[in-house]
Amino acid sequence: MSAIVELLLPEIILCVGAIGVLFFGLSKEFSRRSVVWSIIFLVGAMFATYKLSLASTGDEVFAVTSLHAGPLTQYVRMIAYAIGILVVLACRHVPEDEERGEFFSLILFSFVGVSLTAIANDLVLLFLALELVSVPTYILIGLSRRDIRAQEAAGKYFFLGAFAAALTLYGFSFLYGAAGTMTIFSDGAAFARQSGASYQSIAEWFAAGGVAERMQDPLLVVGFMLALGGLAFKLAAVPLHFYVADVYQGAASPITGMLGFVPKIAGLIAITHLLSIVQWQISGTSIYWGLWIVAAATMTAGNALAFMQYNVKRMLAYSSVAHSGYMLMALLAGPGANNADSPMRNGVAAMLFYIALYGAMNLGAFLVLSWFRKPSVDDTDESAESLDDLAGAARRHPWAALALAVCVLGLMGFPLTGGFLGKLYIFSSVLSATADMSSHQTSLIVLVLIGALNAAVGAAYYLRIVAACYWREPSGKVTTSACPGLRIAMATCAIVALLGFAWPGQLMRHSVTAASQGIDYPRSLRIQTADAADAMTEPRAESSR
Amino acid sequence: MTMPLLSILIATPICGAIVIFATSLDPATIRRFALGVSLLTCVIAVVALATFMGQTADLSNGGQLLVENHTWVASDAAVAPLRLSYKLGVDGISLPLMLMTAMLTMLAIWASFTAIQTRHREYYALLLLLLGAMLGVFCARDLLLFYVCFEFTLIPLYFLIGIWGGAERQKAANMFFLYTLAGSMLTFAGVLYLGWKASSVVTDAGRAFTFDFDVIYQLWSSGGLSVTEQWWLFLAFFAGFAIKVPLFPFHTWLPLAHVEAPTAGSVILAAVLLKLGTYGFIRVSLPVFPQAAIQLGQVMGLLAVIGIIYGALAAWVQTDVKRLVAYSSVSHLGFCLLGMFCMKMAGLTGSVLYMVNHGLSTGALFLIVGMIYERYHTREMDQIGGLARKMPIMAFFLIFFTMSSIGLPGLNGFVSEFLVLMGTFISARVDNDVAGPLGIGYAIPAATGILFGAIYMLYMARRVLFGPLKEPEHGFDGSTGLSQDLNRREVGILTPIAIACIFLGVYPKPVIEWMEPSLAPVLERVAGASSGGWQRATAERESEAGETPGVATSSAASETLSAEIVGAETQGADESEPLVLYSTSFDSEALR
Repeated sequence: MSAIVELLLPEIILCVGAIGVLFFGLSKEFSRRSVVWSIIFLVGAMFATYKLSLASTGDEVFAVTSLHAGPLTQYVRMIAYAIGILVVLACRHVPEDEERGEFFSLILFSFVGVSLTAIANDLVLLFLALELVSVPTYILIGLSRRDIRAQEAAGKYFFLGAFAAALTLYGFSFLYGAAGTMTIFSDGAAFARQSGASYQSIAEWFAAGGVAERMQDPLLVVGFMLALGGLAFKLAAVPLHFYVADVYQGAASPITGMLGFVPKIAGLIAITHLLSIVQWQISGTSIYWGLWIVAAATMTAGNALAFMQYNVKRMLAYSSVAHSGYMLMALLAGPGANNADSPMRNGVAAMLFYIALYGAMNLGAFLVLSWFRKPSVDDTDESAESLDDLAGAARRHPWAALALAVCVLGLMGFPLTGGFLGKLYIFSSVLSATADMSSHQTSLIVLVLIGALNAAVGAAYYLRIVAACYWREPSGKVTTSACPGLRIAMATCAIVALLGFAWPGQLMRHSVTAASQGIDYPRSLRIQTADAADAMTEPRAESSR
Repeated sequence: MTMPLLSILIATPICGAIVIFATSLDPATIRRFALGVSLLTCVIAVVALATFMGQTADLSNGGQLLVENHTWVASDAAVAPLRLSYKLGVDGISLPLMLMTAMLTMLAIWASFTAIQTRHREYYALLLLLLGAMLGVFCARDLLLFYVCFEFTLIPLYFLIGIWGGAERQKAANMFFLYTLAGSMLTFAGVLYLGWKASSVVTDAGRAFTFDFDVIYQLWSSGGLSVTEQWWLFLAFFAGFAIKVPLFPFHTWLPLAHVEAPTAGSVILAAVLLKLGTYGFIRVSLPVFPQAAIQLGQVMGLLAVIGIIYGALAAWVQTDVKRLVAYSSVSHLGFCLLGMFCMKMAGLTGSVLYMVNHGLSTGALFLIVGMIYERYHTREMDQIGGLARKMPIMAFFLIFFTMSSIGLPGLNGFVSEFLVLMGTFISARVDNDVAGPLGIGYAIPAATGILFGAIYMLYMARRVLFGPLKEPEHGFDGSTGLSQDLNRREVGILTPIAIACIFLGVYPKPVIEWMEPSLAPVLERVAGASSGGWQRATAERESEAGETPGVATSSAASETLSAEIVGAETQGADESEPLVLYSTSFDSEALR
């Protein structure tokens, strides 16, 4: 039992924290400090993660069949909790006094969901983790604002989310039907022991029968497509992207910033798991073309729709759709061939690097919007939304405008921000993948060109935001928020965007290590299937080392 | 001893920008501070020049000096690790451009003292930031660093045009930014492809995913790039560079951006930013994709010639002085590319020299137009005329720089135009088994461009300076403390440029001397590509090297043309000999 506790320690800390904050919400005295408590628990979870990663040997740990932890888990936990602290700081002023406990407790639960997604080794647990990410966000959207639009957004998001979740679950059931097990990966040693008998995990089932042969089964392809289709909702990828504008606009800006990160990372990690099952051997299958089309369409549709917006929140909402497209592109490239230990060649590492920076920059942009207040109909103030609200911001609030400009230019992928390196890694990993998937050389290069042109289209609307801040004359109505937490979070996001360019080494190294989990494990399986007949003892030696 | 001179050069203006943005000084102090920082940058550039001149002996073929190499991002993979570096260095191509950039930006800052009346803090911070980025482009010896700086120059200029520009500034700034960015995103894909390809090149340090120019230059010679790949990559880089230059069908953003930009913006745009495109061609496109460059040479030549004539004709019909000068840039930059793609030493030297000369004379013309505009708030030739009577000093400078722009012998424009046209004329000749893609068919129409140039520039000078005095109704505006004619500050701005123009017109030898050793390897690669094999061309070159110096001396007395050809031929063997020929021939030309 203790092994499980050790493995899940960060999640347990956060769960305890979430329940604690919920209870503190009952007392007026404690309720006021919900933010402090949430941050304390998030920091505690980060510290636990740090301890765990120090103790780990860099290999996969299978405590029980349904959990597997490795560098990927630690990476996801770390960046999720770090963004979580920023979100909590930024939300300090959002909820009503009597709702503070519930509000922050739900935020914490949502982040527990993210890290559970990364640790889940079981289709059911994975599904539950994904739901744990989403369900709190449905409520958070409704809680975050008194506006009727927030209620509408919550309703819309909930019903569509439920529909997408059903799709994913249905897809998972096909996988279960084919493999006869819910477990995703199994320990290499265990595989060797039981070879020939019933399969211990889906990955094993694929490896034993040969991925290409297994994928001949149309039902399996349908299963994968359904699962990926449902996850597309989490990413807001085409064709399930249409809700974003309304939902993002409806929620309060800090929550919108969170919505741009939390479901996306959960969805992307889930897709990474699914593709790891088939050892990334998607070349030539309909999964490849499905992902290709979704990635290309997501980038293009996201940018095209964002281009048409005048409301900054809607614009950034569609821009987040486009970013999902870029990250899907990286996943299509996959972890690359052997020794792909630089993000220039490893799509998964590029995606992990990108999402960390994207999370910060996207959150930063929404936070600056939230920092600018304008009077609303019912005497309260609300966050700036349209380009007009931002007019002349640089004259009155040069630093906030600079932070917005840095974040937005980062999203554009402009040099001197981390977004540039993110795009660099993603595009080059796709180009490098042409070496491994020789039959898809042309389509991959075309995808990079589509991505490059999209980045240029993206610049057009991002620039509009910057131009509004710097070119136009200030309008009288807009004031600023007094919340210090918001200010700190805002500045941190902008600094992270700049540091991501100047000093990316550490993040990059961790993302590469994290991505090696998705590769190494199937790779060891591949070796075993090759000499399963004669070398039954070798894997055991390998795993003990 | 090894001081990171180039890093200091780039960091000085950037630090200045940060100081200006972060503190709230009063406008007068900001102006003086910005000027001081840019002067300091200029001084550092001159120190770099002095160091460079002291070390020219080490500048063997393709070498670079003042190199700094630091790792920026590295991963410790077993095979092909990632190695992105911060690598700086200058050679004979970048040094003159670097000096010109530092000097013109300083003068542009000085010229903004009265023209800019709002938001001083942001204005001077952005100008200094722009200076840092431009110097970064010229100093970069790593393709990625080059691209980063190349791209970053857009941001300050976007704001400079958009905030302090004319009536249509927002449209101009957006068009400028999006147009250039759309092109350079394709270039970005090309950069990445090159980096990925470079990871297959084995260097001393093993294989690595790197963008180091030295490694990328090895790609072609080690057979790492097929002709098809070169074509596509050439086109990808073409997208970014041709829009920046701008080459004929991609020039539509330029007139608007030039006209709407504030004076300093126009100066920097014309003098430096357009050169980033031509510099990119000579730094990347020619040496990295030599086969594609040879094969596409005629297309490039054709576009250049169309640009020359189209730009000239378009300039002729303008009524706005600034727009006229802007279109003249399209025409002039056509010469620049023509010289580059004739694949002869004369043309290449002329082309690089043209970049500097165009920067000086067009920059000065934009400054003068700005000075007139500050006084009369118009640039329409219908509203102003006969200004020579009221502003004799301005008239002197306008005529001077007009002459420099037309290419009057004795001034800078002549040398480069002459070299470019000569290179184009002899391009089709077979030297060492190598013939360039262009020829007389390109040179003749291009030469008419010079004629047109004389027509429209003189036409402009006549209308603005001579004839009956014509002033707009509101008359001369002295509210910012300007005198009717140019004041001491403005004379101080224009004089250094004029001196540089005379110097480069009369005695271009030292500058050409810097350039040639750096251009020789570029030419050698292209020559090797066209004659079918790199090794063969080099071997032939070496075997001929023994005989040629004698020929060179004998032809010294003969006409310039043949001396020039020999000069190109003997490049690999003896550098000092043909250089003497150049300079003597120019001096005699100038005196004639």
